[in-house]
Parts: sequence; C-alpha cells; structure tokens
Amino acid sequence: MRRLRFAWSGWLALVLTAGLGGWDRAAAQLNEPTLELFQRILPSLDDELKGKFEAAIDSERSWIEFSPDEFLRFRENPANPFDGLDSIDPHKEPGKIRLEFKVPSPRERVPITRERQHRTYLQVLDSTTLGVAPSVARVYCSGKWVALATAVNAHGLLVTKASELCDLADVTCRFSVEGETRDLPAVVWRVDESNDLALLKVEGLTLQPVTFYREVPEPGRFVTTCDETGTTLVLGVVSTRPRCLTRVNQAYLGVRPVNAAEGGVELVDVTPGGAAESAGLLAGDRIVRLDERAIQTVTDLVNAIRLHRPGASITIDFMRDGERRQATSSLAARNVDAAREPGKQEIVAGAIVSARHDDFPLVFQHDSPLLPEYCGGPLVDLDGRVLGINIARSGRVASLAIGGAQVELAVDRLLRENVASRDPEARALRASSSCELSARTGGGLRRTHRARFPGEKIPMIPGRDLPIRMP
Amino acid sequence: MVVLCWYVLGGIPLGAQQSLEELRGIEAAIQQVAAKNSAATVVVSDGRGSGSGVVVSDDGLVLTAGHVLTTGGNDFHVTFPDGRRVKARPLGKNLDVDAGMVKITEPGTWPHVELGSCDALELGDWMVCLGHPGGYDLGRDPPVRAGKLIADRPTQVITDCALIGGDSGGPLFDLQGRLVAIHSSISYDSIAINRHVKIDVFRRSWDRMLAGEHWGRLPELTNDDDEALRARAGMGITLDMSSPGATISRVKAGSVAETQGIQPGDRICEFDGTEVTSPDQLIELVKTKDPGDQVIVVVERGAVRKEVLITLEQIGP
Repeated sequence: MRRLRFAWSGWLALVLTAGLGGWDRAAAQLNEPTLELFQRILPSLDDELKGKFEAAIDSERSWIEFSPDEFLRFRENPANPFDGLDSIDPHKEPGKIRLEFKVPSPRERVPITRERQHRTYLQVLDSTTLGVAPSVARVYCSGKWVALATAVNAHGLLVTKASELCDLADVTCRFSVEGETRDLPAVVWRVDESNDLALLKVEGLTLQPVTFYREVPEPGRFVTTCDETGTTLVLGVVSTRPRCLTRVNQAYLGVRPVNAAEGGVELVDVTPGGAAESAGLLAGDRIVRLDERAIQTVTDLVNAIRLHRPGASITIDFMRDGERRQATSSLAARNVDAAREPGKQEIVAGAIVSARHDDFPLVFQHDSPLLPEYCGGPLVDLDGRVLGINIARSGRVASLAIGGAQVELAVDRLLRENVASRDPEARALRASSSCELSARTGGGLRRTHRARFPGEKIPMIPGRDLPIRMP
Repeated sequence: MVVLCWYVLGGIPLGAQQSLEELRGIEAAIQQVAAKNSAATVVVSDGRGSGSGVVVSDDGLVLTAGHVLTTGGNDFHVTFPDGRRVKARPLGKNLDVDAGMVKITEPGTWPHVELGSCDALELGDWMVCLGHPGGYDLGRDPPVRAGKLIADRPTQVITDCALIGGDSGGPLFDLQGRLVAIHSSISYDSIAINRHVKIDVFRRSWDRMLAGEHWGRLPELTNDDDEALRARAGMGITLDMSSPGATISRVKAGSVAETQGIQPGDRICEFDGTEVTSPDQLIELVKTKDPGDQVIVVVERGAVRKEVLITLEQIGP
C-alpha cells in the first residue's frame, strides 16, 4: 500500500492511497472542510461519480474508490481541485484506486511549538482562569459539544450562544464541580435574537455567577477563553473597540466623515439625496452631538447611527461658521450583505466560522482563534476579570465578544420578559412561539436569526454614556 | 472592490516560556505600540484593489506590498483611520520580494512610524500587527493583532499574527513600536503562517523604488513553508541508519517509545500494517502520520515479536 500526501492550491491537501488496503480507520472520517469540498464539486460530476461522492457523504467517510476508468474521468473533470493526480497511472495500479480527501481542518491542527497557542504558553494562563472556571459550563446539544455557557446567577441561570443550540429539547450543561464532572439537563428559557444570546436554566446545582467587568477594554489587552475545568483554550488580544455590526436594513445617514482636530466629526462630503442632505447638512459642518450622545470620533458617529432603526428621527448638533446649530433627520436604510463579504474563502482561511457570525448590535473584536463551540463562554483578561462573552468566530483574523455591560443589560431584559411571561396567557403564547420556532428551524435556532431591534433600551458604548432609548 | 491578499506561506522550535508577570509587561507594550502607530496605518487603493500601507515620513512616503500595486487601477489614494482620504501616486516596486512604495501627493504633515530592523529579532519574540483586513471599514481603527516570530527566512519573517485579504502591505512592529516588516502573504491551511517582508529588504531596494523603478516578478507561491513548519509525528526513537532493517539505536527518555518498553537494539518490523525493510522507508511511513495518530508497531527483540500500540507525539518544529 502506498500513501502519499499532496498539497495543492495553497490550501487543499489530499492523501492518496493506491492499491487495495483494508483500512477504515477513524482518521478516514469526513471532516467539515472536506464535506464542504465534496458538496462544492458535486454539481459538476457525472451521475456515476456523483453517486460515489454522495455515498461517501452519507457514510461520513473521506475516501472514495475509483475504477481506473472512473479515476480518469474524475481527473479530467474541471471540478477536480487537485492538479497532482497526473503522477498516478491508473492502469499500473492493481485493482481500484482509493483516494482519501483530507482538507486540513482547523479543529485538528496541532500548534507549532513556537506559536502563542502552544500548550506551553497557555498553561501559564490557567491560573488566571481558575476563578472563572466554576461559572463555565460546556453545552451539549443532541450529544454534541456545541458551545460554552456562562453562569449569570446562583439559581441555575446561564447564558450561551443561541444559534448553536441545534435542538432546543435536548440541551445538557456539563460542569466541573471540585474535579468531578456533573451533567445536568438544561431548559432554554428565553432567546435574545439580536445578541444571539439564550438564557439556560439548570436545576440541582448552586452556580457561581460571574461578575462582569463593565469598562471597555483597550485594544491590545490579552484575553483568554477557558473551559469548565479552567483549562485555557485560546489566547488573543483585543483588536477593536465595541462597534455596531448590524448589516441588514442598516440605518444610513449619507455622509463622508473625518475626525476633526478640535473634536467631533467633520463632513467631507454629503451624499446627494441622502438623509443628511435632506436635513440640511453641508460639507464642512462639524457634528458634535447625535441625540443625547456626544460625538468625538467617526467611530462614535457610526455606532450612534447604526444603533437606530432606519426611518428613526434623530437630532444632530453641529458647528457651522463657529455657530452651534441643530438639524433633525430621518435615517435612510441600506443592506450591506455584499459589501461586507468579499468572498468567504478570503475571510475564513484557516478558521471555522460560526453559523451566525455577524449582524450584532454591539461587539468588540479580538484575535483569539475560537472554534464555534468556544462561544458562549466568558472572555477573561490576565487579572481574571470577565470582559464579556464570546459570541462568534467571524473569520481568520476576528472573533467577536459582547462586552460585560451589554451582556448584563441583555440578561436583565431576558429576565424581565420571563417574569412578564409568567401569567397564563403569556405562557401559552410563549409555548406556541417556541413550537413555531421549532417547526421553522427543524428543532433548533441555527442559521435562522438576524439582528432585530427590540423596543428596549440598548446601551451605546458601555461605561461612557447612559443607555439611550431605542425609537 | 477587490480585496488583495497574496496567498503564500515558513520552522524552528522553542521559545522561552513566559511568566504571567512577563506577559503583563508584553501586554503593556502591545497596547503602547498599537496606540502609537494606528494613525499611520493606512488603506492604499488604486480604485480597483485595496490593500494596507504604513506612512514612514512626515511628507507622506508610504510602504506597502509590491502586489498591492499590481491590480491595474490608476486612481491612487490613501485613507487614514480617522477618515481622511488623500490623493497619492505609486512610486516603484520590487516584485521579487513583494515590496512597494506610494507617495501622498497632497500637501500636509502626516502621522508616521519609526523604522526598525529584523536583525535584532529572536525567534519567539512577540510582535504587533496592524492593517485593514477586509478593506477600509468606516469607524474601525486598524484591528490590533499580536503573535510570535515563528520563523526567519532570507527576505521574510513568519509570525502567527493572523492576516487576511486587505492586510497586505500593512505594518508589523516589534515591541518597541518600530516597523520591522510589511505583510505579504498567508497559508490558507494554518492561522500560524503569516509572512511579512523584512524592512531590511525594503532598505536594499529603497533608492530604486523611490526613483520609481519597477522590477522583478512575484514568486510562485508554494506550500514549502507549510510543510517545513508542520508539526511532525514521531515516537522518540533514533534509528541505526547503517543496519539493513530498522534497528533502534537510541530511545528518548520520557518518549512514548520508552513508555511502551521499546529498547535500543530492538528492530521495527511493521508500522501501521506495512512491513518495514529499511530505516529510510520507516521515516517516510512516519511522515504520512500526524501527531496524535495511533499506530500498531511490530517490534522484534531477539526471536520475540511483539505488537505495540503507539500514539505518535509531536516532534517539532
């Protein structure tokens, strides 16, 4: 048996086994990136080859056996992403040719010795996560590890990433209690679609809630993510300040702003026909306030606008010719789907991206290489403070977290909703809506939600301004 | 808009383990480096493609990657993180090493960074990376990324500071905040393989690029570095290369081979179902495995043959 390892196109690797070999070992199982590859080439294959790939997908194996003739047809097919198959003479090999397709999965990657994610470095950080570990649970859904959860009160309440809960009726939380593993069934209490947070309830264990750190972490701060045993999973640094990343039906003012030296934001350009123009704003005007929120930088302005619903009326304070003026505008709408996704491959290279990975009202970015199942757990700094909750892996360079103050508000809101739903009528409503939810999504929350603007208070930048009333 | 990234890819082991106190010092340095250099980290666009760049003089000389200047547009401008967008013109480029220069043509005094050198760097050093991944994003300062020096190549350094399309041409800093390299390419396979062109290489082509000269061609991108830097599997044994079979000359203390009772003088007859006939063949067989893979190895001692289950270990880089 001959086994060769090929690597092509910068990112595909293929293991070729020629000849007959009786091996169906675990390593030949289909991983996610290889499954994606199979699905991508399926439409271009003839029926016979398609049947072979579909059978491999169905039985979750990564190898396919070809007769010499089938091998040649696959090799000549334009959809074949491997250009190194030429070295194989199908007629020289005895019997069938077995190809094992193995696109490397980030999940199976072993860190290089010198890399910051190497266990040698991470274990130093385990001491910083010990205080948080009792507040962390590992969430299983239909037997599969899908997320982490963070305890928010002593009476069994935890938050997790809602869209990873593939079956709302089968959720289990794994805790580590004094070194012992405890698995407890969890009920999904409420879901905040906008933040993609779900409130879970477990019985029979007194939890240790986390204390959220409410200040905005400066970019460059080290952050770690740990599991329920306190083992540090990944290390990163904070990359950006909190930003509004909603993209569907995004509120839009229609200006090109720059930071002004004297503070505030100067308009270089005003889009013709846009909301700013109809409010009477001109190039050269300097915006200093939007509603009750002071505007210091372009970031402030962008966040302030995008946290509104399109059509919302806003009041802008601006300086013109040394004079303070005020204008009222109704915000326009735009969708930025296409603009934000310059090609999936570009973004994900070397990462497994969360099913729901954007469209969040207020998140900050960090560069820890999270796996989707690390989301929902606390993000901790070197002093063991909980800066927020990991909510998505959004690409090779970015993971997203919801800041502590924001999580607290979201949890408060979910709790209030839950209290309100205690009267019988509301309960019935809730029961029917969750049924509907299940029917629509095949039992889970995956890939179903877009950020919504609840008619509730949403904070702007935590710690710097009071929460504003959403219109 | 096309977002640029040139896909390429770089190994050596061991960096000193950092204590928590050292990490606090490194964290403070990363924050300072990012705060100090963010304003000079720009987007370079020719109207068609968009990459990153970094201003290195108060009159607006911008360093970028050579391939950022190859997308064919002619409407060059530079955008600062604070929203200012100014006109620029391309100077020269050395595509052999993926280096390029752009000059801001509008009058003004521009925020700029201090130049350093890769010569003083050591493998395992912490580095800070800025850039504009995904292109310009209104209201977003260049996202800060940190990582370690993974490998040192003749014209490039390799780090685990994650890069993506749009970062090309952006700056890599040492912990003193000096510019030491410019982002060039990545490995799609590994988040730990990100390549940056050394500033020392820019210096060698500096005058020619400043004079507007264009030369060289972008090298073929290969996976050689991926392969060289891939974590390899091993058992912790050394083979006697002069003997015809695969006879073990040394067993590393604490290795899986030692734990499983393998001793010097033993001969490996079979590896994962394949008969072993020479030391070279065994080495090739092990190369096809990954760390963590389980294999059955048949070991011969005198007249006795024994099957041993081995979980392969990581042996570098």
